[in-house]
Amino acid sequence: MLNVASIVTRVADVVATVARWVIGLCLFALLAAVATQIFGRHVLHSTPSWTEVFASLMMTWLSFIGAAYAVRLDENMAIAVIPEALSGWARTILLVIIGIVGMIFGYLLLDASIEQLSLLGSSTIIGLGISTQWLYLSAPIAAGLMLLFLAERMLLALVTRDGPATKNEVSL
Amino acid sequence: EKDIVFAHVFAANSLEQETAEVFAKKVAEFSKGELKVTVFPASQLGGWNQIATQQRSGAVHVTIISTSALGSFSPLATVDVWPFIFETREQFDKAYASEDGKAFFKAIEAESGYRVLAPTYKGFRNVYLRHDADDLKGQKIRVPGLPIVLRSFEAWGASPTPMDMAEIYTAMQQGVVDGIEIEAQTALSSGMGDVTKTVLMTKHMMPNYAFIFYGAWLDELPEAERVALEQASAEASKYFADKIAIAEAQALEAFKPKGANIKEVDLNAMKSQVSGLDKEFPDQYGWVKRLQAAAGMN
Amino acid sequence: MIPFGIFIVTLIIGVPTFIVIGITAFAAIGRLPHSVLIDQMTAALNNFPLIALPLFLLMGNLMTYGGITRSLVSFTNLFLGRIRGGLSLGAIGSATFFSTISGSAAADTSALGAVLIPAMKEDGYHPGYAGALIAAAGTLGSIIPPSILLVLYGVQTGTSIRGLFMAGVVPGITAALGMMGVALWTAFRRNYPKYPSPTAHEAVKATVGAIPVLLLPLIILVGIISGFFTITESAGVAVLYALLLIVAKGRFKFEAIANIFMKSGIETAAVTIVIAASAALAWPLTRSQVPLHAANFILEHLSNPVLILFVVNLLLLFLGMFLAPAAALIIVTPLLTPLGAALDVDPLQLGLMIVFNLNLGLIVPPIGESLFITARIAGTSYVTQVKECLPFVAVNLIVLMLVTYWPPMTTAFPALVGY
Ligand code: NA
Ligand code: NA
Repeated sequence: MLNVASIVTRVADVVATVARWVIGLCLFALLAAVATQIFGRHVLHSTPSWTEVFASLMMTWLSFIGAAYAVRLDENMAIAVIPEALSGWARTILLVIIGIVGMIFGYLLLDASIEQLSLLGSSTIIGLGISTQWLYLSAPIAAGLMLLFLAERMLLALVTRDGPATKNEVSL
Repeated sequence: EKDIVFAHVFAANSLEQETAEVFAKKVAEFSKGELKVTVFPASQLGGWNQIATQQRSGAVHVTIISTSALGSFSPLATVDVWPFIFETREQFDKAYASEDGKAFFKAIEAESGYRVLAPTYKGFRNVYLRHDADDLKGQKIRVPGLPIVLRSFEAWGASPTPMDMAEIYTAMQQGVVDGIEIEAQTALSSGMGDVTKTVLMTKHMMPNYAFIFYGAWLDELPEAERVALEQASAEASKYFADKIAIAEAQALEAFKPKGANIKEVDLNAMKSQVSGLDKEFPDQYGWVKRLQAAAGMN
Repeated sequence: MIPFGIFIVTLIIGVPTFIVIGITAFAAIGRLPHSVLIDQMTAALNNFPLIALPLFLLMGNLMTYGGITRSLVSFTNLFLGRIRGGLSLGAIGSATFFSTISGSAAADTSALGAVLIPAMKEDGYHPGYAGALIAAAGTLGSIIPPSILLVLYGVQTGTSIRGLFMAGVVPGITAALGMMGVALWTAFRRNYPKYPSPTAHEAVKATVGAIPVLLLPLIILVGIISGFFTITESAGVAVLYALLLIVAKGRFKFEAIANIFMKSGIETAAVTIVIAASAALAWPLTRSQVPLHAANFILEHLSNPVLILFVVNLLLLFLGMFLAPAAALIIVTPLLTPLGAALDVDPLQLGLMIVFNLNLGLIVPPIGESLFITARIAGTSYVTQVKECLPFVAVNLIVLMLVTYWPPMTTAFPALVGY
């Protein structure tokens, strides 16, 4: 079990690093789009038609990927009164149950978003000229990340018994 | 009894909602109670893009909207927003009732999968400005982000500005945009009466409303049910068509007591300014020509 | 009933909130296409006005990193320092002022929280209290004009938007004053700091030090009032300004700045994913017509208008607890408009009642979205935020009762200016 856990953790580490950069870049791109929009309207006297659409697209990716990333660090909002009150095996069992609920959701999300993607093959995002699938692709990717990170957390909970160390604030 | 879901994006006390209710009544009547329509107004089940996707999955069955809303599925559908495509309502009615009109909707369905039924006139689009002006030159105008509309307003010397409808009211109030181009009824219901000083009667666009279904879903229905829906669309469309002229005039009239000047503009000059669009959008222009010919124009 | 059970159980055992709401939505949609829920979530996120949230959070994190907010504390205390809890009064005042330019509670809360929560913490306020106060004051963003929620109501019902804006003024100011009362009371009870009169030298030093921070609201204000940019765009300008200050201070380091972008993105996602999940849950709820049946039930079985309005408020509060205000508003407005007409309630009053009530859901458990935002900024647990916010919720409930049962509260001011 220890071995499996360490392999999963190593994979998750790499994936999480990529995800973090994607999140940062999304926010940067969003900012750049807003700046371009103001610049275009006042300096070039023509508002680019892609900026608003593009900023919203970045907002969507940022939210889905960010939420999945936060699953790994247990940084999503939750009412953690009971998990914090428990310790030892009771806490491990509860963490595993929470993990299972999360994985059920992750699976439903993945399944539904693949269905959604299949409905939108022929549609394009007006203003960007790319397939609407680019918008909805953020959901299944987030679902996949969630499943990976939840598996990692559950394994760690079982191995270390007290659950993974939480609240790994992004370092500053 | 089978459930039919009718979702649309217009207010719960709008003429569009009344029309949806007429549709529901007619469907019950024509299907002898076999089909039961439930109407969800005011974007309760999602905005237009959500409704369209939900039609593909079968969660929603029918809506009422302009064909240009199908623009992300079919570039042809944006022929609807071509500047000055028709000059009178008679031309509009004649064109869409013709064989070319029907061929046009077939072409849209071939590209997008959506069936467009019973199109109806829904009013001219004019420009509502927050200050006093005589033309569009140099004005920042909020427009839908469709390429044809963007290019038209650039040709008229304006600065077209795509913007979320949720931000329009404050954007108009604060002057982030100088104006918005829209139908009179929608202008009024979006609160433009409070912030409009000038209505420029540009009459630059004459979009349609239509009953839109997903073709594959409609074709899977038993013949009798499909016919009931088609007939109900036609009847409801007639109901809307009878009321719209008065509603449009009343909405425009409502701007006057609020202090707006209604100004005529040189339409011929505007028309010649957009004459270059045909080369930029040859596919759409082909259909514009056919529809105009069918309307007896040229 | 089963979806509701799933909601309660998963929430209590500590499942992340967006998963709680999301899995409830999947349970509630049953055999209808699941893809609808993805569509609803994505549509809620793919929304331009929402981008003010990450940008304001980013601005706050950049300013904290640059050490720019610290000077704000001494400057504010220059004026309000002699009053016990002066900084907290200043915070509510700033929120009220910012509400007159911002149209949403999320923008208000993130913009102010990012700057003022660290400032209050530094001045010795309980972090949970600092966060709760900003979350509560931030709700004014949707009540004091302009307001995206009131625009949404106006468009959905054809009610005059300017009339609605005017109707929001008195309830908004009343709520602000009430919250200031709570702040004063808390400051005395907890003995929050109070400063002696500053010397001239101290005053000059504090003012000069605060100039870079004070320029920021000035730039935003002038930019918006002159129509140079929208409030959403102003969030972007605020970020660029904060970056400029960091460069000027010689503190620009690529790795640190990149980390701030990532951190701000993750903070944003933790909130927006809850809003998205709530939009997903709204769909099966609407489709099942449960809210419609509830509205009809009330009209059929109750006859006393006072009681009807009370029950309507309870149902709205209940809905607001679980859904984001905009998602809930879209469901209930078409249902309550005929009910309001039957009771002869002025559309302006009804609009304020609905918006004020649903907006309160931002600071009410179990899903208080604004408290999520401020818990993150303050670095406290969500439960602490909920507890610290209760006195502010109480004040808002009193204002809600006034809005509901005393028509002049909402109609007198609009009537004065011709509505
Ligand atoms: Na406001
Ligand atoms: Na809520």
